[in-house]
Amino acid sequence: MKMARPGASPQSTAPRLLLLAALLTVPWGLFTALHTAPIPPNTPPELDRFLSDVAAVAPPRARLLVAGGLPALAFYRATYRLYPRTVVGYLVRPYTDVDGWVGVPDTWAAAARYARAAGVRYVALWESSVVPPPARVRLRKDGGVLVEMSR
Amino acid sequence: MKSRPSASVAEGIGLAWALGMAYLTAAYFTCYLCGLSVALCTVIAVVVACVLGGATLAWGRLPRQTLARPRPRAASYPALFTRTAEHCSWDRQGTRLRVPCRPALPAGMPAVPGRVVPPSPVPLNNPGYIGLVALGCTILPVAVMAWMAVRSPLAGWDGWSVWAFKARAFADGGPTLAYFRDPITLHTHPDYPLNLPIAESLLFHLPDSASFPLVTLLGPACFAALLCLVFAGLARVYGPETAAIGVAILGGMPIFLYNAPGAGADVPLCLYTGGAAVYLLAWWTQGRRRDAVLAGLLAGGAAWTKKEGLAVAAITMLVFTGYELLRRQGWRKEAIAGVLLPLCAAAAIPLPWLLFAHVAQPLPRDFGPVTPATLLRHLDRLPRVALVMGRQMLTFSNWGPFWPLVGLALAVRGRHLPAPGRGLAVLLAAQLGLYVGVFEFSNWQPYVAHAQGTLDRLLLQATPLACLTLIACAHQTKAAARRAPVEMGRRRRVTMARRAAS
Repeated sequence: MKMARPGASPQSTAPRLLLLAALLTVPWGLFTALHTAPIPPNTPPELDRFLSDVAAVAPPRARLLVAGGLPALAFYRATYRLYPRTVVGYLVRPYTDVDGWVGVPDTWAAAARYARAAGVRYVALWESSVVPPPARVRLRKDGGVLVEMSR
Repeated sequence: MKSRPSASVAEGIGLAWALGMAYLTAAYFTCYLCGLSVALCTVIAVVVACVLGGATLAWGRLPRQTLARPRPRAASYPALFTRTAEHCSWDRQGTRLRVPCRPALPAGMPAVPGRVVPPSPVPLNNPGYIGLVALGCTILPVAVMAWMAVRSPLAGWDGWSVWAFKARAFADGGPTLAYFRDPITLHTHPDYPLNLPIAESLLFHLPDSASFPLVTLLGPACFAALLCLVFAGLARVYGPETAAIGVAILGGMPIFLYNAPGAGADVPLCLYTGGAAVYLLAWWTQGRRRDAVLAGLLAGGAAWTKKEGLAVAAITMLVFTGYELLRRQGWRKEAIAGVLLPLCAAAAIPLPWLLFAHVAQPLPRDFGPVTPATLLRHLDRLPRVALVMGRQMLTFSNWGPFWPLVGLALAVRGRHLPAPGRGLAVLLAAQLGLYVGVFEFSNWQPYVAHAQGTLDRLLLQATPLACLTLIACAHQTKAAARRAPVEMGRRRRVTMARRAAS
């Protein structure tokens, strides 16, 4: 490539340098564009189906505790899908921790205790080993269970 | 003589999208604060956006003589394309395409008194091919983004958990004021501005099968609008070939491919920060006040789109004001108005949100109080975050060799940059400094993980500015640097002569 000599016209090299920059950057961009796949969905369809069922049962102004396998996903997704219902997460650490601030209750007693403290009416557990009292179960579907704490 | 307005068409499209969205959502939010219903908010917002958008476009339209006159070479993407078709011809047998080799072309854009016209780009032998290649390099990524958005709507985590959540709340009548102070929904960032959610909320009135892809397409649309603004700005300042190449560099950046179809707010923010930088460059090089005001309006759009947008807008307007302070010889009324008008424009769009945030004090999640004590306590974070940023810049899968090229260009040619190029470099340095410094105030533990998860998106917001800086460096030679003070002096003389004449 012809380089600029001192005193040479500035028009002699400038865009050629830019062209060189483009030749270095653009092919990688095109390669990436041709090889990029759509963002895979980060939510299992069963979770979405379960939350739709929960939305059909819980009234629009209800307050729910939602927890389950993939704790952050279950909580975030429930917040998004169940609006305008208020969704409470099972917080086990300060929310400013990057990881592990949302958890899953180990036992029904722990879940019930947390639910009473948070003043929720429903507890939705998804992909959880917790066994709630059968009499209170309102819905059991798609790997999830919805429990009503009080009527 | 009929003008060839392709560059201004691109500019019109970019501005209409960027400012139209900001006007629409700001008006909607103001109506929402007044307690109006969704339908009334929508109607008033659409009317306000149409009136303000039309007025801005009409006022900001380039004077006819500054539009590209019919020139011996193409003046824009469409024109480059057309010219290729016009000038190529088939040989007699109709088997081979003949491409005429055009002669070297006269330099520069049409001269207008009082304007500093930077050196024109090198006349390339075949701008038609370059235009075509650049057009392809730009259209392909945007098309891929659109395809990704339609195939996988609302798939990005932040896209649904933060922005679409708020959008659905607004479509449902708007969140209650308690939402902004409720720690239960802290993960949805109640302290973030609402430009994107309100724009999305208008689409959420459609059935899910239509609204989800349309909401996701907002990112690619913002990216296309950004490319339009960058192309139009660069075509005016450096010429169409440079604009085409610059847009191809920006359009081919892989990080945009991953982010734009994710329905996040980073690409919309990039539209506003990048647009503001383009218009600042135009103001610095061509001295038309409309460009400064448009830079202010777009900076205001940034402040209304994302929380860090407020800081970037503040930095942009600070650099603008500093540049004016250094450049001005006296403080007449006109000069003061020239500084105040863009500053007022920057404050206008986010004003309803800023007032609301001042009164309602939405809960913050990510960052602690910005105080000198916090800064001093966390000074030891700086080198580690800078290291993370350096590593991110070298992540080839996200950026290719873009950031090393920008660094190299600044190292080799930074000293010789004229004032506008230096302005861009200062703005870029300030923006990158902000992105390193902001983690001094991070609430997250460990903060390095916060930086690692965030810096790619923050750097994305600075990419158009970095691209402009790279182009300014590529256009700079020692000879031009020696000429820069002469041009600046000539500009002052012309301005003084104008004042004397008036």
